Amino acid sequence: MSDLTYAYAQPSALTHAPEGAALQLAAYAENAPASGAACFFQGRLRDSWLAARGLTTLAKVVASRFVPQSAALRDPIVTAGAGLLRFEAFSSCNGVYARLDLGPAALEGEFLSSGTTNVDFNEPMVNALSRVARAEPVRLTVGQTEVTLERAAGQVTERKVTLPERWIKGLTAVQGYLALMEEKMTLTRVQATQLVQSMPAGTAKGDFFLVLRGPRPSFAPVASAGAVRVGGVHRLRLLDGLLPLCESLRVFATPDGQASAFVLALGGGHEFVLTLSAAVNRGFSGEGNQLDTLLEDLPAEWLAGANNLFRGNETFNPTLFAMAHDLAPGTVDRLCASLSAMGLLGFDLAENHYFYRRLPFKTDRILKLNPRLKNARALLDSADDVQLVGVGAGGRTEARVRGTDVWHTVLVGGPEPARCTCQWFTSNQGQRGPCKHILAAQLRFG
Amino acid sequence: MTTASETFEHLIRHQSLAELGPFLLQLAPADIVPVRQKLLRLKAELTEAYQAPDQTSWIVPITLAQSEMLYVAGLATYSRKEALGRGFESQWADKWPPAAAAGQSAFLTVLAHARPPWLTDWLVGLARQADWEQRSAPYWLLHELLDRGLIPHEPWLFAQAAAHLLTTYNAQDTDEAEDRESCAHYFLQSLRADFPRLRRDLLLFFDYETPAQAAYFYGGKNGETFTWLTLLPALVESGHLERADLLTRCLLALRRDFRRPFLIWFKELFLALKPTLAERLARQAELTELLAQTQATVVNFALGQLKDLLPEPGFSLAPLLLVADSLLVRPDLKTGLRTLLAGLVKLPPQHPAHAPAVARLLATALAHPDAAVQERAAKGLAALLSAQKPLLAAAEIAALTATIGQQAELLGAAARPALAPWLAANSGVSITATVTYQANAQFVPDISAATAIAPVAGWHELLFLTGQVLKQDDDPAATERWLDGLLRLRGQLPAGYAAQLLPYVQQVFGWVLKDKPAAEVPATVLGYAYGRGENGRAEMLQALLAGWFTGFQQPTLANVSLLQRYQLPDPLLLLEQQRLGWVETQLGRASAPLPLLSTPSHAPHWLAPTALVEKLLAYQHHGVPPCPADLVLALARTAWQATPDAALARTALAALQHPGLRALLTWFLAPAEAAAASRHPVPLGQLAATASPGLPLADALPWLWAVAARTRYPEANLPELAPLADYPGVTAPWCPLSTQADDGLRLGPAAAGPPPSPLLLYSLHAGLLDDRRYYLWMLKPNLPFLLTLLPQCPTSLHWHLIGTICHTGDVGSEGRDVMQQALRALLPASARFSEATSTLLAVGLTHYAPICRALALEVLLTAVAQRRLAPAMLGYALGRILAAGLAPILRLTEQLAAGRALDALTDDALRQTLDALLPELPAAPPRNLRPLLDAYADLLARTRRPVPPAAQPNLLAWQQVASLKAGAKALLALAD
Repeated sequence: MSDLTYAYAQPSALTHAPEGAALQLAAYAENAPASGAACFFQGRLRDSWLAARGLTTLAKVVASRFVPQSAALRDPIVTAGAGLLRFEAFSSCNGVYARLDLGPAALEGEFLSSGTTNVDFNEPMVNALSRVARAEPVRLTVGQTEVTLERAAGQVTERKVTLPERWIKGLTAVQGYLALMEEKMTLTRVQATQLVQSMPAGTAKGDFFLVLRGPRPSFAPVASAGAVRVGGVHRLRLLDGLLPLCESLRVFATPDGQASAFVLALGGGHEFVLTLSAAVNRGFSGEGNQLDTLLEDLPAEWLAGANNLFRGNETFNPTLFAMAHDLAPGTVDRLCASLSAMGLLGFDLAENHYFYRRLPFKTDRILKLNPRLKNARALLDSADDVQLVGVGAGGRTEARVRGTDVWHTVLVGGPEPARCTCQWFTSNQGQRGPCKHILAAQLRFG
Repeated sequence: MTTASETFEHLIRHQSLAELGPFLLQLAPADIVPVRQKLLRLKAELTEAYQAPDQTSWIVPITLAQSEMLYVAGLATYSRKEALGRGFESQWADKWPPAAAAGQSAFLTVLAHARPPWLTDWLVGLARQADWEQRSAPYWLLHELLDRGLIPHEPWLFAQAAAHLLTTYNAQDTDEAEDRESCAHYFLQSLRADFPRLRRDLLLFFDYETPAQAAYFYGGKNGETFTWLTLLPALVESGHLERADLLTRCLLALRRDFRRPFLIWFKELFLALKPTLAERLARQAELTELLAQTQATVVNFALGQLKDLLPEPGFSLAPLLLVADSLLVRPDLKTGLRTLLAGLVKLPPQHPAHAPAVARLLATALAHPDAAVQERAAKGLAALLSAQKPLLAAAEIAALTATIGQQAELLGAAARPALAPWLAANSGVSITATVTYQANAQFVPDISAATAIAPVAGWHELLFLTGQVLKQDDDPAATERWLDGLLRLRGQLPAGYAAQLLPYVQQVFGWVLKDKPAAEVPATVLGYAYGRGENGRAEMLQALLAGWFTGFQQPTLANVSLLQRYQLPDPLLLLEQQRLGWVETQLGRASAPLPLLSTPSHAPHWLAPTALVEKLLAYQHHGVPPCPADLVLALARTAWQATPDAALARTALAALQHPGLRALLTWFLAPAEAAAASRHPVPLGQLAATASPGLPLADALPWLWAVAARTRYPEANLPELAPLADYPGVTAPWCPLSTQADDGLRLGPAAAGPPPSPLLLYSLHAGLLDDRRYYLWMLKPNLPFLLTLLPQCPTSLHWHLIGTICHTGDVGSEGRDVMQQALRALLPASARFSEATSTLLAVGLTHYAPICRALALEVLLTAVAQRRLAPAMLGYALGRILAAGLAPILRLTEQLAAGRALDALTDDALRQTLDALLPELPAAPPRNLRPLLDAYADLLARTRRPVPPAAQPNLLAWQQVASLKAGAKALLALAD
């Protein structure tokens, strides 16, 4: 747990004037330059009612939690650039990730700079959003415009936020899942409305599976061919105000069913993505799906190269990057995974490509977030804690790795998944990433 | 010379508050810090408890007088740090010095002298604590401090204290009050003494969350409850508060993000003031503004207040129509939306200009998930579209009709009839072609390479499979593979394999192994006392692990006792213990162990006939007699219907030397009969001819015949078996359901005594005692496994489940969990549902837990697709459940709606189910019958079938009931 102080120059606010409303979103970035967070966008929302619905839903996600734990306000981040504004947020429990994309068709204005920042989502502003009426003109500003002097005068809205490290870790881990996802079904607006109607009542304890029965989408409590596993399906109720408004709904899932995503095309350049973890009690931060890719340290020059090359929201083209830096395709795949694990890449499901964004947190903070990897490296500090037993057919390597009062048998390498006799692996069977014993064996013999 | 701190100590130890007061008033600024430090030391010393000499109690040396003195000294000397820290609160017995007490003088005098800068924050802090009524300063004291200039008027603090006036009011004043009014009068009199100041603080109730919504006192001769909700309107009536101001403040407070109980309080206060229509009309902007609230309670309230304002000339409709768009996509709003729509539909006839906007909103509401909202919108649209004087332009009507067509699939049974003319105009609405559902007569398990179960390949797979098997989620298939792997790989284990097993041993026996040296681990696990909660098969497997870890030096399975108090074992578990005991014996021998006969060869739990015969020949080759418990389970799992495999097995049978076993298997694996109804008679007479008392299995063979015969003919009468035993399930299938329909699902009494043999698989549950709730605890962890034992004929286990679940379904989550397991087991392909299985499904479809109902629907749909459903049996069972009032009808109609119009086959199966259900219902209609009749009418229309004669008498009776008249009449029109 690490405390992070958000220091906004002013609170976000939706103010009303005779010529129309103005939505001013205050920005803050931990890694902002000394001159303060920039102004990213200034302009007008083309469909303010629809955008307000999207922002309200995003606020619902931020305010929600699905496991008993203390709630803390964790503001969304917004990435500006390439004609887009992408708002990203997590539920307090880290098991729901949401993103609202406002594309060129939804915005009319000027992108003053590109980058990623936290934006203040305070309650009065969110309440005011729900009162935005159809066809009401709303101006939008992201970041500070005339606040330099105000900051100098000390008008800073400081909020001490206990920002758990897992929140930042979840932001990086979810991109790994998004990049693996495949499209499973596309629903029309009517089907999306039926989806709301078919949601199981109450809090769903087990998994449900989204399946098309004839033309009708239904949630079934058992798996079947073509069905999409949706863990903690009641979390989808976050979308119940938005689903009836969408033009179409695309449903994505990872091949192993460990995460699912719902992409709502709202029309007019508005798109909303809701991603759910495998179960209510599984935040994205604890998944460890990126651990394998973080085993190898990324050369610093690649990081610097990516940082210099791209601007916020810019499409990350692995092939061009490979050509520019003379890298093999496999290396670039690893690079993509590594960059996303560091928060430098997001993934756009609708377009099926990465986009560049740099989380508004210091990179060293992000890199310290994987205790399993740290513990695995600690096992390697002692020469005897990871021992080779033998190498079998197909490169299958058997190792003994020291555990608590016991030695674990670990199998790594070869076409089959790694295995270990520890409690973590026994409970999760590899579904939540490798254990520290497997990581240690991979680091030594992999 | 004595220092100030020494004097202070002396005063505390030996003097009283009377002497301490003057000392504190004369304390020099330079002495404050030393006195404070002495105070803290003394406090720590005097409040530290020590044990009494008799060692039976603890003593805290500080006296009450010393507590008070330390407290007053703290007021004079504490800095903000100590004052706002823990434990600094009034030490008087009633927490604050009462007005008449001597302590109050010292308290106020010292405060007035010291004027601590932290005083306001300290009072606020005390008031914020949960038990604030004990700790926070009373209202009179705050005013005393305010008057003396010791604190400013802190609104939040004064609002809390004012709200609490009710709780601290001395209700004894009202003891003589005869009625409610005079009682309130006494209290209001006590308030009015200084009302201008109090008025300011009472109005703060609308700015902060205060205890006003929870404060009360009991007063009067009759001990009535008085709250601010009753007293504030009284203050309005008496002219002390302004009515208009209070009404507006309520609405403004409702806009804010107060917690729900506070919002409800403001709402109730507004209603308690009984605002007139004119007053509400004057506040239409505030009321409309409330529609943006996230709390449904507030929106419903606002819509209720706006409803009768809509037709008023002074009402401005435009802002409401703007917000209505957002309201109609909120699924959490139901009552309010119905109110809104009811108001809107009245507008167009009076104000035709609003018709297009109202029509658009009504069309949007058709997509709402609430059936009543849909129905209201549908009726409103129908009225608009069929108005004698057209209210909409032709283009608007066309667009609206198209929208209705688009929403057709979203409409429930209630909304559909209202829009029928416009739905019919849209060709998208399809009626099912005529298809008749019929269940398959016979089921043939898939015995092919595609379903063949691969045995465990080697040591590493066996090792990691151990982890999976020992996890609590029971996976019977994995466990069977693991047992098979244990037996087959017994001689191929690596040296020192026990060390590699140790992590799993630790996971299972963790807490008894804690801090044990490695050398003591084997003895500890061998001496482990089972029966600590994880009962049944899980413990048997743990015992096997313990044996494996210690090289099977001694038997461990016998340590698991299934017969425990309050946890009655399933009789099949006792059989399983015998089977696993045989495994343990085999593994303890030096020679290579033989495989279990009952290990499934094909998914999910089938045994191929050839596999059974091959294993028996292997046993014969090694001279090992089969274990009867294993053999009887093998027979129950054998896929005798798999004709090609059974034919191959029959050819191999000639090599089997045991005459009784050969005869049994020859009959059991004989080709399936051409006609479904015919069957091979059980040639039990051969038993005498082939029985050889000296041979193994001689005692078991008659019971093996009985099990084989019932496995092959689950629903047939088998009179040939009568000489074996007169016991339920032997000559006829066991059906304990009471024949009285109004008994619901009451099961008949248990058979007299236990079955004649523990091998009589299909009769074991008939002899169980009636104390059914105790079976649940063993069923829950073991049911997934138990259900794999009787794949051909699970009837007896299903009746046992029905009896157990119906006795325990409402006592906790265990009944629900067991129901889920049972329903999940019905999903894979199997034979046509028996009466027991159909009844179990009916219980699932009407279960109180939504997850069970959802699972039951899956079972129903899967069973229809695989033609396993028996609609008549299901309808009969559902009818009994509903007629006996064991479940509300709406639970079933909800499932029917989810299964509606999926395909022609499902529609017809559901129609047949309802055909059988309706005659079972009583002539006096059960509650909420109308939706069921609507669903039935929909199914009849889709399947183009008439109402069968059996359902007509009830329909005629129900026609007499006003709410059912139209529906029943329409159905009778469809009669044959």
